[in-house]
Amino acid sequence: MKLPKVFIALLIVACISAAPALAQEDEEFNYERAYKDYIYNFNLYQNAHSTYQLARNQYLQAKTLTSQNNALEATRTMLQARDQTMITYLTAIRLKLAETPGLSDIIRDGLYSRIDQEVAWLNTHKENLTSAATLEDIVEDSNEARDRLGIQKTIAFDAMRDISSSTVQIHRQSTSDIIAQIRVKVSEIRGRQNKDTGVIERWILETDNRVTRSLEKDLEAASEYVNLYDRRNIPTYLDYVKSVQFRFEESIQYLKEANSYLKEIVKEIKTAD
Amino acid sequence: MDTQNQQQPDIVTSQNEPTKKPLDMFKNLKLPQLSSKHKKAIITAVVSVIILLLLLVLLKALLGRRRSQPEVAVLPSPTPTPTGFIRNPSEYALDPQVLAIEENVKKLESDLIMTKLDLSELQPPNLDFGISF
Repeated sequence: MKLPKVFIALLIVACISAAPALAQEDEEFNYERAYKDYIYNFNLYQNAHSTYQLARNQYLQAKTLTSQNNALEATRTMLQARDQTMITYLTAIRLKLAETPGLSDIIRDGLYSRIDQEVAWLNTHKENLTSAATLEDIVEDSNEARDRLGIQKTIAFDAMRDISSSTVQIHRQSTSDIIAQIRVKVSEIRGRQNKDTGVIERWILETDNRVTRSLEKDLEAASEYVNLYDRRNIPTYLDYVKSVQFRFEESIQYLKEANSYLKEIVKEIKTAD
Repeated sequence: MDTQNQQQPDIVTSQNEPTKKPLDMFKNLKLPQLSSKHKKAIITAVVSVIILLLLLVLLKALLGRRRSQPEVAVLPSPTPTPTGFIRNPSEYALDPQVLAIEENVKKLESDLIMTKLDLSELQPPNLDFGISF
């Protein structure tokens, strides 16, 4: 009778002590942690790649069975590290999306689904690498991953575009909200007829104009993104920065100008004629 | 001074008598007979040139030192006023709605400054996909 009681008590204690630890572990897995994991795995891949190159060269020179076996094992380890790097890279993007405010659920869930699909594919591919018995088999496995790379890069660029776009959109919305608040106040001042609002109203139009220019830049970024894939099958990050990222930066610049106008408008309201 | 100048050739010849050949040219050297007025003028001119040279060297040293120091551009600065200070406030200067708008503008400004659009850390990793044997 005593034994089950002691066992139950121990179980309860174990559960109580484990719960906060598990909760803490969940809390700590954020973008920062995911990014560190990715960098760690990328370093492992680089080491594995150096070993692979050495083994490959030795095999190509010696052509012995031992060197062939070494080359096969080194390639397998490198390909597994490569898959793991891509898994952690996509996971870091997933966490970045989770922490980006302003993203619509449809966009976020769509990207999550695509990332999860690719992570599942990479995990299966990594498992399958263990069954490769010859160098031809392992090269074929590597080519399968190469053919999948376009999909994975597209997910990354889509995510980057959506993260930048939502960041700019949030600031534009805040600017528009403040303009609306100022309009209400200026309308009230005009009604009282105790302050000339002509200049302020003209400045509000100027500010509105800057917000519109910001929106135009976002649309240009979207259009450039489509063109990016027309020009190349798999664009590079530099292509992305030159065509898309640059437009978002211009968009933010217009919002900064709008903000400086808003400061002047507030100052004008607070100053007597 | 007069006697010294007149004696100089004699001194030279007497000193070099044992080795006559190298200093033969000096034997025939005839210094012009200058009047005391001319001598004074020459001395004054030489002294003035030396003084002028010294002054030039001194000036150059002073200017050179100044140039070597980093030049600090002194620009006219406006009278310092506290941020947000309004000399002639309107009746809306302390309006709660206006102050709330001002606060929102300030918050947006700091948000815009903090905005980081550079996502270079998320660029796809450079991996080797060209495996062959």
